[in-house]
This record gives sequence, structure tokens and C-alpha cells, in this order.
Amino acid sequence: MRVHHVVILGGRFAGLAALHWIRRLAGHRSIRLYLVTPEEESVYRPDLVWAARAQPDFVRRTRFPLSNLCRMLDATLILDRAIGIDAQTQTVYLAGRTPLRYDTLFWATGLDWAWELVPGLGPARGFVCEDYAARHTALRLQQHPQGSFVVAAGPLRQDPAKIPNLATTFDGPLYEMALLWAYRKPRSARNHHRISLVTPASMVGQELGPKGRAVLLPLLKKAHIDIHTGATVDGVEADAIWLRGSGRLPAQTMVWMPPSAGSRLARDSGLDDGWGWVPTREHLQHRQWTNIYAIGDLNRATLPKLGHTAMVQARVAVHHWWATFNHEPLPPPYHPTMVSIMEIGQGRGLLTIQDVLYGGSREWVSVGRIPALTKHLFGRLYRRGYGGLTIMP
Amino acid sequence: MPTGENPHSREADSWKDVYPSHARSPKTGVIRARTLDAGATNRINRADSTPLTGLDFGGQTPSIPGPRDPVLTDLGLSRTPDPDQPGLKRMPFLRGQSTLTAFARIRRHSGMLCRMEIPTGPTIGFVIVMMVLGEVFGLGVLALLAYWAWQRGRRRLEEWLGQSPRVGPSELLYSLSSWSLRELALTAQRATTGRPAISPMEPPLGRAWLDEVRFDPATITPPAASNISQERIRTVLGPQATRPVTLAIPLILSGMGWGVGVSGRARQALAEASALTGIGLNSGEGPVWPPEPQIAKPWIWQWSRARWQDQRAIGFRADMIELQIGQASEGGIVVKKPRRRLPPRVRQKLAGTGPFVIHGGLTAPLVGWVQSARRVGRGCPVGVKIPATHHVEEDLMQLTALGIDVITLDGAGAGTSGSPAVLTDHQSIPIAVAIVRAHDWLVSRGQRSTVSLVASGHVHSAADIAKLMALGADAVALGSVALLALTHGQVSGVLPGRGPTSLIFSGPGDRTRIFDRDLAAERLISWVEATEQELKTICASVGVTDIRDLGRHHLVTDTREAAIALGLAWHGDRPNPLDLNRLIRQLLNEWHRGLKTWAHLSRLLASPRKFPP
Repeated sequence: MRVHHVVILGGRFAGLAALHWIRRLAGHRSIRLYLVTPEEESVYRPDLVWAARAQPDFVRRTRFPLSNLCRMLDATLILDRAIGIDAQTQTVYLAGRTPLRYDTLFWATGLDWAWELVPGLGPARGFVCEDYAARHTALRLQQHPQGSFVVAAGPLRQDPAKIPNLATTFDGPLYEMALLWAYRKPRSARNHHRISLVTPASMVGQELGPKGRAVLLPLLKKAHIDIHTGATVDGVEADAIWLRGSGRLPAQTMVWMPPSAGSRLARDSGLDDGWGWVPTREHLQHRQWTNIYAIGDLNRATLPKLGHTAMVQARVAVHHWWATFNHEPLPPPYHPTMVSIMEIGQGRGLLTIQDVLYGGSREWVSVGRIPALTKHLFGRLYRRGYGGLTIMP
Repeated sequence: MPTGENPHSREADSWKDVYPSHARSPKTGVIRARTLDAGATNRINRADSTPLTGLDFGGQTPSIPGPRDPVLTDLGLSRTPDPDQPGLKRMPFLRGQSTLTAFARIRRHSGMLCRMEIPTGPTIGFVIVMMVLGEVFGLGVLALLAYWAWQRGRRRLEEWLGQSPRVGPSELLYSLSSWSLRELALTAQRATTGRPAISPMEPPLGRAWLDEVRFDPATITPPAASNISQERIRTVLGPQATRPVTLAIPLILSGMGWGVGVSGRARQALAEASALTGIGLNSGEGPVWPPEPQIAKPWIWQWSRARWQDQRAIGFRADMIELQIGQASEGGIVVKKPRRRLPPRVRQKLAGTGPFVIHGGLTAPLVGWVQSARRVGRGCPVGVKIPATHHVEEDLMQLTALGIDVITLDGAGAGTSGSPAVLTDHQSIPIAVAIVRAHDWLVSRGQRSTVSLVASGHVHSAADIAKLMALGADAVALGSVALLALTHGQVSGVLPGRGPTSLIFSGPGDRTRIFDRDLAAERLISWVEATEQELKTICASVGVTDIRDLGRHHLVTDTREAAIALGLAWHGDRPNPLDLNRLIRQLLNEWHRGLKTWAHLSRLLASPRKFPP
């Protein structure tokens, strides 16, 4: 019997969820699994916003090794970087070894940061999307002098016809950072800082529905956070951000949600929509190549940087592949629904479940300690399960 | 109870009410230490007949003198409480306290003496006296022995020095005066292994020219600068390339290859430091550490002469490509190592099945190599790394003819993880001299603005960096000093069994597993930030507001030799008012300054934005 080669590119939310689902459905029968990722460890990224409050070494608790997972799920871990995909020959070109053939490809490498979109911006300005950056941000915030603290989102370059069409990636982590920093202890320290939030989006909470925004905006105002919406950043200096129309905004410390322009791998491989995002069908297959599933941030239909969305997409894609593989009835297609829990300080969280962003009308919002506890519990179980949960979303 | 009276000072009926007589030894009245619970204290208070037994504190137990204690009376240390004397205190507050605490409080409240005492044997005074005498005697004997040994040793030493050194131990004296410990260790290494000796880290530098150079501080015209922004520390490499490289600070972490040099964890820490400070990271001669291209910013891919499985397309991700023709510590020689000497993951990256080989010389014509790099780099600068040689001008002539954007000169004293000591210690010219010659040659050919120079080798601090930039370098590459900063705070974990490099160098016997990359990255970031501050301080002191304005006129030398070698002024020289060269130099400086001001004003006028360029 011919062995089916399944290659998963990316070892983050979507990639690990796909790995778990494949082993759950397929067992160990005639499927050879490869997980290709440059990092030895995966990081539970939603917890990185705690850089606003925690000690710098908190990032150690967010990491978990991938070798254990691959041993457990009988997958081959290839620590390398994909530099090209040839869909015709079904080959993934790796940076440091011979090319890898695949029968089915689950593509979850995420997007690349495009720092060059904002003059003067770079990783050195501060961000929390990676573990090392969160560690350094936590250290800088500990030494933060009295003055202004700015959280800012970079622009998102994408096809204007894309739905949802947002001005930036999911900027929830910025609200979390601002609120966690605003409600830190001691209480007296809060009066010596000015917190500003800069976003190219035309409104606060662009990815939330009306109810979510109605909850979030008063929270930001109560915490005395200055909000600059619809901002165009002309340049960034070491201690200031230049905003078009508003001039110089002082920033002794800043944390950025980096700008993005899609996936370089998608562009280099010629599999993108012309803007760096991968167009897919309703079951998340590539429009042209049905044995390539694009899941996670690089998918054209995704709101980037949402872990829950990535896990749901992995489930849909893997179930579709398995049904096709076994000639079974197809599962329901992917219906985008945004689920997010944001830390809003004082031990509380903001849970929003909605499809308003995708043209729907359902929206459910919950505020309090239960959402925050749910998020902590999810994170703990996620790390303990090496990216898999007993009940996967 | 009357107001103000101590509630604990209620009187006991008698001494026996507090301490039952059978709890005292017949001779000294010792009560053995034990914890007094509430019941026990009550029993004491009730003169219960239950004997108190408990812990013995190593032969010494807390004691309270019994009635008419003869020992204490003889020593005159206490007054003996009269058991029949009325007015002794009843002490209910002792409940639940240890015996020692209880006794202390008894003494405080009742005025009785409480002290430690040896129950049997010689008295404490006798023991103390004997101990003191013993120590005095022992010290005296030791002093006598030392005096005797000194007298005897002195005579022996004189005799020993007078003997023939040919076969005597005094031969060591003659050897060590002409051989350094380093040379002895290298000789021993060759004798043991039968292979060329290697010297890790930096070899000694014959003459450290940079140490003979000083900054000439600004005074009145121009005055010292007051504020230097971070933007004025930036440097651009390969300005003629489509995608030039911008360094936030003119520093590059030198090529220290994964597996052939440092471990993966060390590369990770270096990459993180690069991203969070904006300094360049060179991949080195090893294979590419997979996470590195995405983390480091800017990332320089060194296209080495070793055959790794790295695909050329990795160059798509590079901000600059450097062709490694040679380095100071090895030149361009062939390097061979058994495959088993490489870490397992690096071994897998090796193409073919033979030993690990870095090919000597050029494996292909340089023209073709440069063209390939240009195709792969997609507009990024293409650089070349060569050792600093006495024929540097000839090398530059060939490289500039090929349109090379960045030239890295690796000077004598550059560190290595294990190059042959016979080369590291005796090869290449100092980087300060090489940079001066390269800069002068490029200026004379009118190509200084199109080709960037990177200096490398034996650079230790911001002062060295600033001096090299003043001599003509556009950026400086760091190796050993970055590794020292990286390992700071973790060296004690491997000493004395291993050297500090075992934390970061990969290979058999390394201790990279205990290397904390988080701590290491933050240490290196701190070092870079401190160096940045120091560079700004130096610029301010010599009166420039942009690091690129540093020039040779900001330097003076301590010696005439350094002045000749580096083309600088010696501070022993008196200025000649009729010195035509000096006048022309001053005129040119003023002309350059005027041009810069004009260019700056033109940019400001032409730019409609509020953000300053």
C-alpha cells in the first residue's frame, strides 16, 4: 500500500491543530507526517501580552518543545525553513536540505512582518508578538521612566476587495497591553504615565461588533488612555512617533503590532492573490491546487492573529482532506466566526463571539472574571497538551 | 491588678513552685532543655513530680543554678536564689515556650542568673584557660617551624640558583623568561595530539595601534556637541545597491557559524540581540540556523566555501550577501574536520558523505560567484570578506572592478573558535592600518562613496569602534567581545571544570545545554546599548553630531610610529603656522561642512513632510 505523505508547514496554532486532527482521524495507518518548522519550541502567544505586567522570564512558561509532540504523534520534525513551494511537482523547497515531496500540504506558516512599511520602524522599537520580544518589552517596561507609553498598530497591506478588509491585523493585544499597564500596581504609579493608543483603523475595536466596541471604549476611557484612530504614521524615532496631521507624539516606550503584507513564501511561490495572501475555496483548499490547504494567518479570508480561528480552520481543512481521502461525504464548509478573549485588567476579561465582521448579525459579549479564567485555563491546557486539547474548537 | 504593674510579675509562693527540685541534677541543678507546653509549664508551676527530660544540646544544657550552687558561688558569677525566700515570681507566661526562652524570661523577670553549663567534668573556666594556652602554644610552634623553614629554604634557594641549570629545576626559570605560557600550552598541545595546535578566541596582537591613538576633544571651534540623536548613529552599507542595508548602530555581529563555531542556542541569542538593537548579524561559515533569517534584522548571509545543503534561495531572505574569500585567522586555506566532530543536526546539513571541508582558495571564478550572488540577492548589497593584507590595494582594485558593494577587512588579532595557532598568531596586518590604506585608496579612486568598508579584528570597546570609524570604516564587526557579553553571568556554571567557551562553542564536551539564551540575549543587548551611549559620548566630546562625521583630524597619537602608520598627527608635534597641508585640510573641512549644511537645508526645503528626513 502506498504511503501518503502529509506535510505541515508551520508549528504554531494552525499547524499544531492540523497535526493533532490528522492523527486523531487517521491514526497511524499509511500516513507519513512531516512537521516543518524552524523553531524547536512553540510559543503560546496569547500570553505574551503579560509583558505589560509580568517579570521578563515569564516567557519561559509560554514555550513548549515540539520534539515531544512529534514523538507522541509519530511525526517527523524537520527543523528548517520552507523557501518555496512548487505546486506542480508537489515539492516543498527547504532552506537547508533536499526538497520534500508531499501528497497533501497543510500550509500554516503565518505572515511575515513588513517593518519597512513605516519609516524608522523596526523590531528594536518594541513588540510582543514573539517570545524574545515580549521578554525584552517586559524588561523595558520594568525600567520605564515616567512619561508616555504608546501602543501602536502598523498598517496591513492587502487586496482592497478582501473581506474582511481591515486597516490592521487583530489589534486586541494592544488593548490588552494598554489596559494591563493602566491597571498595574501600585496604584500611585499609574498617575505618572500617559498612555496612548495609535491605530490606523477608523474606530477602536474594528474587529469587534457593536456590542464589543460599546464595552471596550468606556474601558479605555476609564483608564485615561488617549486614542488616535485613523492614524497614518509618517515616521518613528527613538522617543517619538510622527503622526500625519497631529505631529509629534512623544513615546518614551512603545509597543507595536508590526505592519504586515502577507506571506513572502506565498509571493515567492506564486501562490498568492497578488498581495501576499493565499486565496482558498470554502474548505480552505487553494483555489488552484486542491491538495494544498492554507490555514491560519496567511489565508485570504482570515483576520490575522486569532488563535481560535486558526484552530477551527485546521479542523475544517483536515476533516475535508480525510473525507476526500476516504471518499466519504464532505464536512460542512468553513463559516468564519470570531472568538476572542481579551484581558482588560483587574483580573477581568472580555469575551466576544460574533460573525458581524463577516457580514453576519450574531454577537455575544461577556465581561468579567469568568472569561479571564477561561483564557488562563485554555492556555494551560494548550501548553500541557502540546498544542492539542481534549475538546478541540 | 494595679495599673502599670507588669502582668507577668505575679509572685510565686516559693522557688520550688517554679522549678521542682527533682528536675535539677543533684550536683549543679541542671534542667534539661525541652519544649515546655502548656501542661509542662503548669506542672512546673504546680511543682509536679513528673521528671523533665528532653533534648541535650551537645553536652551543654541550659541550666539554672540550684540553691547554694557551690560552683557558681566559687566563681562569683551569680547570686544564689534562696528557695525559701518569699517573693519569687510565679510565671504563667512561660506556657508554650521553649525552655531556653523560658529561662531567659525568668532571668529578666526574677533577676536570677541563667546560663549554659557543662553538667559533669572540668569546669568551664578551666576548659577556656586550657584552650587558650593550647592555641598560644600551637601558634608558637608554627611560628618556630616557619622561621626554621624560611632560614633553611633561603639557603637552599641560593644554592639552587647557583647550580647548573642544565638538568636542574632552575631551568624552568630560564624557560619561562623566554617562553610565554601560551607558547608552552601550544607546544604541549602539538606534542599530545600530533596535529596543528589551535588557539580559541583572540590571539595576541603584535602591536595594538588603536591603543596608541587618542581623541582630540573639541573646545571652542567647534565646541562639544550637546545632543546626538539615535538617527545620527545610523550607517548605511552598500548605498549603491537597490536595497541598501541600514544599521541602527554601526555594528555587525561577526560571522560565527552554527555548528562549526557556536551552538544553536548562541546563534538564537545573537539573532535576538540583532533584532532588538538593529545591529547586523552575519550567519558565518556554518549552515544557516533555521530561525535566524526571520529573527535577525538586518541579516547577512555569508556564502562560505563549505558545502552545506543550504539552498541558494535562502539568499532571498538576506538583507546582504557576503562572499567569504578568507579571514585573518585562517586566510583562505582548506579546513578539514572529521564529520563526527560536528553536532548531529549540523552533520545532517553537510552535503556528501566525506569529512567536513572548507575548500581552500576560490572554488569558482570570482566573477561568476559575484554574479550568482547578485541574482540570488535580488538587489541587496553584495560584499566580500578578505583578510587584511599588505597588498590590500591590489585586492581592492579587483573587487571594485567587480562592483562589490561592501568590503570587510579582517585584521590581525581576530578571534576564532579553533583555527591553527601558527596562522592566528602570525598572520595579517592590524586592522587600523588596513582600514587607513583601504580608505585612502578608495578616496584616491573616487569610489569612497560607492563602496562601504567594514573593519573587523581585535575590537574591544566603543573607543576602538569610534577610532576605526574615524580612520575610515563605515561599520565594525564584533566577535569575541560579543561572546564575552553573551556569557556574562553564566561562566560560574562551568568553571573550573570547563572554560567559558564551552557554554557557546559547539562540539564534543560543550555545555551548551545549560546555556540560558534569554539571559545571554539580554546581556548582549545591554552591552550594545551601553556601547551606543559611549559612541554618542565620544562624538559629543570631539564636537560632531553625526558619527559619519568622525575623521582623522579627531585623532592624535601617542607615538611617532603610530602617527606614521596611521597618517595621524602626533601630539608631540608643534603646529607650524605656515604648514600648507594643515591650511588646505582646514579649508577642505570648512568646504565639506558648508556642503553638508547646504544639502540638509535643501532637503528640508524640498520635503513637504513634517517628519525630518
